[in-house]
Amino acid sequence: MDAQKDSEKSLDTRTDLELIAAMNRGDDRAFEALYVRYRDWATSLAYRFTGDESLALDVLQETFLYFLKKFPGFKLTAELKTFLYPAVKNLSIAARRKAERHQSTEGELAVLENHPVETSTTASADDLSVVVASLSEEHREVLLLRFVDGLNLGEIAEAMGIPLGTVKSRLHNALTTLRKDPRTKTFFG
Amino acid sequence: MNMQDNVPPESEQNLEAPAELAAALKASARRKVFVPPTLDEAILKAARAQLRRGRKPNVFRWPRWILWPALAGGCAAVALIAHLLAPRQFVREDLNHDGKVDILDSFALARELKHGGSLPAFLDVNGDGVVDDRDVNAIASQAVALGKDNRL
Repeated sequence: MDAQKDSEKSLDTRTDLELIAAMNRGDDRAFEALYVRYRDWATSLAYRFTGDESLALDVLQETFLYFLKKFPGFKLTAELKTFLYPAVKNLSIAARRKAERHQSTEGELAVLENHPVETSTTASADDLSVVVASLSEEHREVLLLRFVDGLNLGEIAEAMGIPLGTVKSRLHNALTTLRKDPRTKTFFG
Repeated sequence: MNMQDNVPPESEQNLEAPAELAAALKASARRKVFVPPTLDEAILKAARAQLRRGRKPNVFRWPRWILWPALAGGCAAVALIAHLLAPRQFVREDLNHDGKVDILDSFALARELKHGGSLPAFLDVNGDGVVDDRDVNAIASQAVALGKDNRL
């Protein structure tokens, strides 16, 4: 799929709900439009979980195949991102585990244990990444879903399958950590 | 849920990040991964196959509410057909079986009498034990008698 074709599909002004209704009627062009709309987000998310481009692409494919198996008869009850998010996450975790099993040395395993978010060791250019990487996984996940993926608090709660209050507390704690850390407190003025 | 999950309401205003921080987070966490066109094609091909498989033929479906009226109509149609096909019962005087007793029935009996031969007992309209001209007259009298509404 070339860039021109991508842009044509992204011009499809139908809402996600309309596209899904069309897919339920067997319209494969509606799927193409949704695929173009969410492909990069899903790939980026998969990369965030796996830390490996190749695994991220595998997850991308498996995610959309999983999505396709829901048709016909799929009903979207929330944002599509909140439906896709758990699929990407779970498939990423499975892909990571599978990859880990194939690693033969402890050194290689240690590399995979590192969090996928790139933790540059070079100087202060990526201080933020280092601090974010130091957060617990659950706090980091909420923080990134909110400010990188742009989900609101309710959508995060639905995507992660946790109560809204838990989302708020995790986000609050994550921001507090960033506010207090000398490497990132400058963001807060 | 642990103790940390409880956030006092006044802290909710702190759930927003400064714009600079949000932009930096996006820049650091979002990594553009190149998706090969062959993978795009593989996924789209799978989509075409899956969606075509699930495509339902565009056939007309009767609405469910129409079931009971249709059943009632069907029963009525069956009853009507049975009624039409059932052997008709005619009154004894209606000799020509045209559904009414009129002068033509008396003519029919007169004709049968003229031809002679044995006549069935049911033609004994006046019940006197024989089939003869009196039965012809009885039918004629009945045919020209005034009805309840004084019509022939």
